[in-house]
Amino acid sequence: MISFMGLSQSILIKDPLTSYSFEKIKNPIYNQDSLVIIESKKSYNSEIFKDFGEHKEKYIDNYTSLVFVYSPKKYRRPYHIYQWMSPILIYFDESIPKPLKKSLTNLVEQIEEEDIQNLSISFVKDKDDANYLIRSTEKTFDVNFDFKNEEDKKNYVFNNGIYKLILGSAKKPRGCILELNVNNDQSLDILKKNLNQLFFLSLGRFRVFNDFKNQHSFINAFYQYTEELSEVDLALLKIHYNVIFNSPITKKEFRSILKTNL
Amino acid sequence: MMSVVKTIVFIVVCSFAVVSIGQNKDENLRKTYIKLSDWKKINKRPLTKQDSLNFLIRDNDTLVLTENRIKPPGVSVPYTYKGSAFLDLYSQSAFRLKSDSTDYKKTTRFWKKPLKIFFADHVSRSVKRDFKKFAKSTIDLIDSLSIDFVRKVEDSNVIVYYDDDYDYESKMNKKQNSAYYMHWKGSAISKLSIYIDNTYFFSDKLRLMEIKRLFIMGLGHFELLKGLPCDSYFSSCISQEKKLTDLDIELLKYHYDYGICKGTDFKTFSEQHSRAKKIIKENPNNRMRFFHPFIN
Repeated sequence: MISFMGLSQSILIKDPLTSYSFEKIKNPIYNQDSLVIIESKKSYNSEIFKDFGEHKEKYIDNYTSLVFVYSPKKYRRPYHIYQWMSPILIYFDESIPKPLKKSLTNLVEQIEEEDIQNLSISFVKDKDDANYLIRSTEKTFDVNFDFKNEEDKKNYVFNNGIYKLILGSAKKPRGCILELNVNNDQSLDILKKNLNQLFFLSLGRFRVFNDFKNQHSFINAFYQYTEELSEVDLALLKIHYNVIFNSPITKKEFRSILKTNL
Repeated sequence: MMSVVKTIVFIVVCSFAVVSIGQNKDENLRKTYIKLSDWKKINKRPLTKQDSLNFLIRDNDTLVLTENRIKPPGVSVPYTYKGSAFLDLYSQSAFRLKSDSTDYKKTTRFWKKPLKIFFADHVSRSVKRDFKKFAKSTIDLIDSLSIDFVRKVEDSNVIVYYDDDYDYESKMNKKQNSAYYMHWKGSAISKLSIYIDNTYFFSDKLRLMEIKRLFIMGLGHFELLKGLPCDSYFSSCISQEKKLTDLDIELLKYHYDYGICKGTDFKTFSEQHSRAKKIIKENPNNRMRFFHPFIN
């Protein structure tokens, strides 16, 4: 019996941080090439945590709340981490007004200036070259939760638009269609805020919190528009794209990985 | 004095019988042996004393010296050595192993006839152009396979079509945003259809990526493998633009390599490798060949 016979479990271990490469070596017995599997571990770039300075713990807490549900019962539940693995190539449909394009372009430029590991975003002029489409929609939305007033509800991000990720395996996006209702009597400022927030959330299928302290963070349900990308949001992206996970991961595993890299 | 280099060439006839040919190179002697069980299938007469005297025991098999055996038309190919790490990955993908009792009976599926590809009306010119380039360069890597592009659907055996096109394959699962459906007889694939929902995959870039991925899968009804790097076509990670990695090329080439019997079940495939390696290990001069009759 030879070694592979009956061995139908993958010889490659499915692990969030293990990656493989393949090499050929000369087999001395058969005088032929044999394939050799080389296992390696992906590691965190700990430099980003140094840059966070005194905010380090706060930013890490923000991030873990964002991608893991913080119930103690679900501490061991594996979560998919929605990370783009291909460069994001955005195409604006003609129906998107110029000021909105400009506003999002400005946000993307700020993200790109930071040269975030594993994240690349650019714009394309031809829809057929894109994997991220932004277009207007006539759809109306009626998301309801504990809004303080009608104004908050009307301006809420998911009441004016939606994004739909084209997911590959392990919930990794390979495309996205973002739709914004630009004809529902909203001011340009609200539309800019909605567009930028939808786009940011689509970078990790991030949730929003209605009690988040920073009003200028995209993960605040009542995000207040600002042209500047906040430090908090930048930190979230840096942590999120620091390493691409191969498979779902539990909050416990994530904490343990961070611990060894801080 | 003439030196005698003992080289034994073992030939596996891929249709049914295992035949061994012993050959003393310099003496130019040629003897053909056949497994006892196969000898009984072919010969109606009982074994003679002379037959018994010529018995050869090899790997627990009793081999009978046979005379005037007519060699059917076909091609004899030397054994292609592959290490166990490669064979493990290949077997999981090509035999679609599931870690259950049915694994040993599973067979691979492959094309025996040239691929003739037809594109439906809504496939854009740029997708056709880029896909042709990709498909040709991929098939060029495989010695025993060829590809052509046809204008009439009736001349084709591979159809690429979109949601907006005529539904060329009624059995296609169109609830999925992309899929392939293939027909086969035994191990031979006879028809492949590739379907793309062109609304969901909104750009030519996304459509082309998906057509290429499904095309590679359609070359062997391959199972995707967990743990392979995301850029590999054989990886179950389908979130990134693919390229043919060195491993992908090796897997594809091996799928169409005739240095082992084709269309056998996984048990036979495993045993043939095991036997070939044992024979070579016993004596580096030994050779193993696989005879593929044309009638197959």
